[in-house]
Amino acid sequence: MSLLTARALIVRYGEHTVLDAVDLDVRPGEVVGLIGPNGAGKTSLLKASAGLVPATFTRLEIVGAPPARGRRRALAREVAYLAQGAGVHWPLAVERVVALGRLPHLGPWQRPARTDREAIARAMSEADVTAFAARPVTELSDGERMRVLIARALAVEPRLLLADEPVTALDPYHQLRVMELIAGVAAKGGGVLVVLHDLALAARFCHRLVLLNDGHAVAEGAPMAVLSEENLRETYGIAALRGEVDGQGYVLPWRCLAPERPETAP
Amino acid sequence: MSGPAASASGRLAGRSDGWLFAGLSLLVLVLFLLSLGVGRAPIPLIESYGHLFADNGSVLALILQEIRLPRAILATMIGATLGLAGAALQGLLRNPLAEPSLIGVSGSAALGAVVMFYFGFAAAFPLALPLGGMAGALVSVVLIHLLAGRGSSGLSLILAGIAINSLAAALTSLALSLAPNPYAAMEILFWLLGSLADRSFEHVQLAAPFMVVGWILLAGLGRPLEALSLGEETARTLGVDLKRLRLRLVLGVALAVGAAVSVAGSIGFIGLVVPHILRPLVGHRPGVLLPASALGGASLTLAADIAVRLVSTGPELRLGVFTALVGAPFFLWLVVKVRREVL
Repeated sequence: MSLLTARALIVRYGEHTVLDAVDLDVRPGEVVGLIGPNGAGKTSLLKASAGLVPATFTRLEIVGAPPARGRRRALAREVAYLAQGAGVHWPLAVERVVALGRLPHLGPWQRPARTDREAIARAMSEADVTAFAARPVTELSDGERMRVLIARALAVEPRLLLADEPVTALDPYHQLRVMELIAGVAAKGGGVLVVLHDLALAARFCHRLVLLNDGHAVAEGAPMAVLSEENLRETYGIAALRGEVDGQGYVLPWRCLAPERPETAP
Repeated sequence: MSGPAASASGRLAGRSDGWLFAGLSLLVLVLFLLSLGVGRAPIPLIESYGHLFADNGSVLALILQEIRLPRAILATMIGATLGLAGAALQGLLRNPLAEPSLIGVSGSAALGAVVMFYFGFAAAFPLALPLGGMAGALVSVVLIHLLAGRGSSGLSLILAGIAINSLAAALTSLALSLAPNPYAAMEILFWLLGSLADRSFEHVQLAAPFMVVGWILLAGLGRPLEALSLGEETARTLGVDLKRLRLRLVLGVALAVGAAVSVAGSIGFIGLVVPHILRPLVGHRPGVLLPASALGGASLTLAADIAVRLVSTGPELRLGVFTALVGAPFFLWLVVKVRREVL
């Protein structure tokens, strides 16, 4: 069963069409990367996949059914969403923030049960934030805070994880660490849809990539096929170095291609 | 595989919550009893509690039962309302500067009461004032809902509140400047300053149902407000219906605060200062802050109402004036202190 199925998905903000008839699938055990230049519609696609923005479609199924209004709470138990540049508004203790991931599993006046506490502890230990469980989240570094927010998402124990640029503003170590965490969700049978700007990380950690440009899905498939020389030139206007290590391809953005403008000498 | 640090801090926080609520409840109780013992008539504190339950119709019994008891009940309920409403609005807007008057309810309630003064209804029958206040508060809720109901952000709520506040303030000033005689203007002004003096059980009966309904609407909002500390979008993916949350919160605040302003005039700073003081003590959790702020607001209002009776030698100092006089410098100090800690 597919965790996320979208057919002819259209998102409009007023007159402006930001997504035009996009098809998308995320299956269990799969990390799908959404890439594309700024303004291509990546975030809109992710939000539509979370049922956060109104969209039209011929078919949209999130964990088995359309995102109806009455399904909000049920959906919240299956899907975790990691917003772009997400922060926490109050200096809550790390453990409290992670515990918020259990809210969809609790009734209005129900106290967290043993299973909830175990899920919180497990999420914290997976994301490696147990050491600062009692510290205010606002005092952490960017990398630590991102791990806390991922632990919050893991605490939901979601079948589908939607993450919007989770590694932006992190140092290389934490970028790799966060991507490993996200890949871990898929390794345990969940599905992941992740918006990435870093093509190297996209090639390294995603099973499939969807390349968006100007609201259209222009390429979809295995990472190195999607990150072809032609696709990078047409959508990003860049040339990249590419190579292979241990049978796995990598891509390194190298220089801008500016056909309209004369190239400035280095 | 539960981390020892995690479970230890969890237990710790749970236990300190219990102590905090026990302490605050005790404080409310003590201040309530003290409030009964303070007043113009010099009755020894212990002796006064005897008069509270006396059935002999003596003057002292009347003072306790008909003057001081409703006053203490109103102080408790209004304080709880202001604290709760302040905490709820700060949680919704994720801004520590939000307070009940922000969404224009206080101003509109005051305007409603002023209109009653202006047309002379207040002189004709005393309950016209609170009734007018309540009507004003309800009108403001409808306006807020029309102005901000469609919008999806807290910002549109603030903007609608500011618009309604300015309109209410302008109309109140208009009523003042067009007042038929200087005494009427004075009376309006004094009423606007906020006081709990000379309130009766009729006031309690009138305001209490609205406040209780408001409390019930606000009481269940702890969890959604906690989720909201992760931002509006993330809260929605945690199953929070933002529109319903906003509607319920605004309605609850309007009913409770509207009723409070209607019987006591506007009493500032309680709704701003109380959540601010208590927030660190509940680990900054917006949900737990709701009941804590209700108890804290009740304590502070009771204390302030005791203080105005103790410090006043001539005519009684207005409660609203007192809370502003003490509250504003205190709040300033708090802001400076917190900023120093953050920087």
